[in-house]
Amino acid sequence: MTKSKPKGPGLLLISVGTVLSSMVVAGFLLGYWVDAWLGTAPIVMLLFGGMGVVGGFLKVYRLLNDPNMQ
Amino acid sequence: MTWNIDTIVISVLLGILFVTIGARVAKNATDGVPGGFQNFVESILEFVQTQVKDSFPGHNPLIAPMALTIFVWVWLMNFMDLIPVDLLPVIGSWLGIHYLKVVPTTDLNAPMAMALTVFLLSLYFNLKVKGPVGYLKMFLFHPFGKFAMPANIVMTAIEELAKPLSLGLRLFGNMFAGELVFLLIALLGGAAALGAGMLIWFPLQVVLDMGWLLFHILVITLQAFIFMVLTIVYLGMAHTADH
Repeated sequence: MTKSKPKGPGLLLISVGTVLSSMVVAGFLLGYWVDAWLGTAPIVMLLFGGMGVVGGFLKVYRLLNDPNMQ
Repeated sequence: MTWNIDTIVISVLLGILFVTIGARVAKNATDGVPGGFQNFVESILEFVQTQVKDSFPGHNPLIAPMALTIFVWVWLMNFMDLIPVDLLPVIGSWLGIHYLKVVPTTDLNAPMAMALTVFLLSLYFNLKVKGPVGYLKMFLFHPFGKFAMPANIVMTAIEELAKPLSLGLRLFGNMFAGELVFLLIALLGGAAALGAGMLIWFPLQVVLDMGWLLFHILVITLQAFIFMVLTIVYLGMAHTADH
């Protein structure tokens, strides 16, 4: 990045919980769509949901360590 | 398909209000000593401009006006929360409208529509600034390096989808919860419908309502501000090459 780091992402800290939960919801939604597309009923949804949980924790962890990360 | 006409009408009316007031201030603007209201509008403009300068890395003439629109519009929609909860629905029922949701942002459709618009804009700018190949690269190599490509695609897709979701749900959640607390406080006095003895709670209702009202002014401003800043941030992320 060329300029100084943007300050905005620090505001994400106000509602870290929303970030975590929306990652989980996004994972399940995406899995649901893929399931409807491929007809593999609950498998992909559970898989992506699990990945959403893991990704959410990871993201929150990184966010708390460095609020300026994007 | 259901059309939430109350949400659409009220949000459009508030948008018209914002545009009308803005146009009037712009027409009466002076170079000399500005009046009280012009001063106020100018301070909002400057505030938004500072935020855009702080959080937005690139240069794009679309961002600042959009941030201003989002901030003021969301604030106005949130502000409907501070009007006594049953006042407008009661007036509406006199006019034959039997279901009226006064605060557009407590209807999930309104925040989600705005969040989706922001998402589509960021998609557009991602494709425009990084190019389709650059955007695809972000999907392929982003969280875990190049040896876990399938996981990367899914993870980045989840992350991108989570952005508009959290943006919309945050605004909706905060406003809906605030509205619900107002309703619960109103029920204290409303219990008098069961018997006049319940009026003993009325002073408590006044105190609680006053307290929550004052606190809620902060909440609506903060939520409008967060929505604006995160919009700027997400669009700014679309403009930076090294993500």
